Amino acid sequence: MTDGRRATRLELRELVLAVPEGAGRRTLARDLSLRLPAGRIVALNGPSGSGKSTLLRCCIRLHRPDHGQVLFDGAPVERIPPPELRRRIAYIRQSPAFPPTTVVDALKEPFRFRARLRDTPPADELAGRLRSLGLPETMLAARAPALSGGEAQRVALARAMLPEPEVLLLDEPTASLDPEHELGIVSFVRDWVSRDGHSALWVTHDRSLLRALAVETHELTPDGLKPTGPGR
Amino acid sequence: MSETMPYRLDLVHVALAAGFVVLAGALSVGFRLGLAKKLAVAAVRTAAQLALAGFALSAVFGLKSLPLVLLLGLAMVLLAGREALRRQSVKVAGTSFDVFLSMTVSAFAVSLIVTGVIVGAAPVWTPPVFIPILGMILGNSLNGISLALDRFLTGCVEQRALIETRLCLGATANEAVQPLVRDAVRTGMIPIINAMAIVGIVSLPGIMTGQLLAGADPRDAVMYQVVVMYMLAASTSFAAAAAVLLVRRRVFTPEMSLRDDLVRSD
Repeated sequence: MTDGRRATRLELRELVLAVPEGAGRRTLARDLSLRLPAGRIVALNGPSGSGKSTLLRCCIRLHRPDHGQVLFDGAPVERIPPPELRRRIAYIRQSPAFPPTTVVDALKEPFRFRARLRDTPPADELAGRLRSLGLPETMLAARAPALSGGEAQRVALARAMLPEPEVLLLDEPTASLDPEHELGIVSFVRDWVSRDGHSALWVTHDRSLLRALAVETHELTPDGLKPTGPGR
Repeated sequence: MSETMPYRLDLVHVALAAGFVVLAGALSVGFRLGLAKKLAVAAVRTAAQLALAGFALSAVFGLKSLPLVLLLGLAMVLLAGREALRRQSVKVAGTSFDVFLSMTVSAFAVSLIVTGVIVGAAPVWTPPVFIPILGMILGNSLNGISLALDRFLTGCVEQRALIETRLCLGATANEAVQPLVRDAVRTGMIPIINAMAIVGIVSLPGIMTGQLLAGADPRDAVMYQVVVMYMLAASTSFAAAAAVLLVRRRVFTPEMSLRDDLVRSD
């Protein structure tokens, strides 16, 4: 369960990923094994359609692998009720979706769900969360579905962090951002991961971002995850 | 009631009314709408279907057996349910059972209360009272259910990203589609609420017009119509809500994710 002295938060064991196609299933990748230790960011890259997003979705039971197991803190994820699992492991989609409300109401929405662990944060906390991601607090009054791509990705990150998850699954979270804001997100996530045993699995196919991240990196190939990065 | 009917109609009168269809047909020919044949077929179907219904009703109203009346009621539910399902652009396995169940429960419960408690028919299944009431309820429930279900299921397809986002934020399956459920049930209820708002001002509904033409006292006709509107409001709302709540569980996998095979087929 440990990687050196660090506890493993998330572990993939010999996953086989397949998607429905016609009457059958098409295998995307097999033999995917990985450990995500506490306090670390691990990056995944690979071409479009290689199964990166599907792999992230397996971690929170949005997709069922055709074979293999995902463990969270040593327990198979199937033993954890999906709402609890998804509150503890936040997944940030490549294209964020928002309800047809203002940003402030979109940020408060998760606190209406039963699986929440805390009360709705006050407005000044919400404003602070936006500022920490380089967004003005006036954005709280904006219509959420009308945000630009880069704004939407940062608001989605703020929304995912509010319920205080333990692990982040990031699916190309900086795809619509300029380099300055991209580095802002990198340092934001690094800072978050350095505290309280958090960890993050970061999917990207952006080489320059991988260099900026400088973390253990694996390439998703049809035959498994191949280490390619610094491997710290 | 036919003995007291002041203005009786026979086949000659119906033939005269067919002149209206000929006029509409002439319009189609004049403007080259290409609808003359369709109109003729529709006119013949109207007469044939209603004549058949008339014969069937004469037979049904003479029924003295509860099982036969129940059987007929169930057949009506099956036909109405099939029609409601046919109008869905997103097909989900198991939906037909949910539609039949919600229609059967709401239509039978409300019809029996109306015939037994309000109208006071004895026995409660007296065919000339029970069958027309059940028919009216089913016609309206069909609309309510098909509108509500279509809104819900197309919403699940169109809002997949938003529903998945809610699931990712820790929502249960029910919480993830709650706004959609509310919206769908509202969609199913709006036509009957609109009808209640304008009844008597803009429109005189069929049952009331029929009773008036048949020579009934307008006061009685009004009382009946109020009862009918109230029962339709209850049965349509209940049927639409029940159908959406029952179908809701079918759009998710046991892992609380939206099914992969939800697609529009129109």
